[in-house]
Amino acid sequence: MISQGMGRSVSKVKRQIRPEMTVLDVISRFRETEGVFKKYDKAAGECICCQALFDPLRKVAAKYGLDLEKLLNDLESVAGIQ
Amino acid sequence: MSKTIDARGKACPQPVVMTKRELELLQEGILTVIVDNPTSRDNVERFGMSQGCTVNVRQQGDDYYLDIVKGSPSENPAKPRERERTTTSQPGVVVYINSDLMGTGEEELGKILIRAFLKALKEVSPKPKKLIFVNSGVKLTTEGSDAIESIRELEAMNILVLSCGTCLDYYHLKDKLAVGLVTNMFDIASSLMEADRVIRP
Repeated sequence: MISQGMGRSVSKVKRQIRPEMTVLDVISRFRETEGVFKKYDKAAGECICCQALFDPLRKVAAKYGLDLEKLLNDLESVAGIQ
Repeated sequence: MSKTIDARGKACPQPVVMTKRELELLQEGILTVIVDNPTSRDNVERFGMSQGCTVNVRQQGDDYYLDIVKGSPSENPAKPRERERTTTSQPGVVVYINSDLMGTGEEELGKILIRAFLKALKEVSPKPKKLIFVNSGVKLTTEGSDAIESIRELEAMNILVLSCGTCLDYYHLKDKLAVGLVTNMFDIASSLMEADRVIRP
């Protein structure tokens, strides 16, 4: 049984920025979000946009121990979606 | 048609974002991107490859020049003077491996055949531009696979090797990926839809 479907977001809210989108996908579509990733660099311990540009957000969160839900909220907030 | 982007001094992800924007506008031709650090070089190269382009990388002093050729490389007169490495791929051909076995029948034989297929792929021409591993196919790209060396050699030929992240999770192999990159269904679907041909062994 697949526990985490690819199209399923981590919350019940229908998101425009989804866990399966890569960092590049997000920044390309919502330019304002670049600053959010920069803010997370300190927590990640390295430049996310340098080292994980092609990774899905779900992987970025897992890799750096970030709260995926919070990351998505922060990105959508800056992108003006929420 | 050719165009140059000077992305020196630009922080990540700007060189890739600039490249993406210009490459989307370019119908066919060469997009030269100048960057001044290895990280930007690698990311721009990877992005170019992901778009099915040929990428020629050369170093001049502290700067890197990436000639991203969109369209038919053979029609393109550009010849890098100091070619450090060249990324070539067959436009549009994706090999989609959705099992760690080849064919139906005896499991042991299926494993032998898929291993042989990947080994043979190194010798054939033209080469695909991507190998996409999904479902139990990801067992081939992870630790313990007998096919790792063959896949690594294919990757060294600048063929993009991608494994489905959800599949790696499902088989508890995410930390055991030994070759290539993790991808998602968005990229897999895009790759399959954009491919001229999809080969499923």
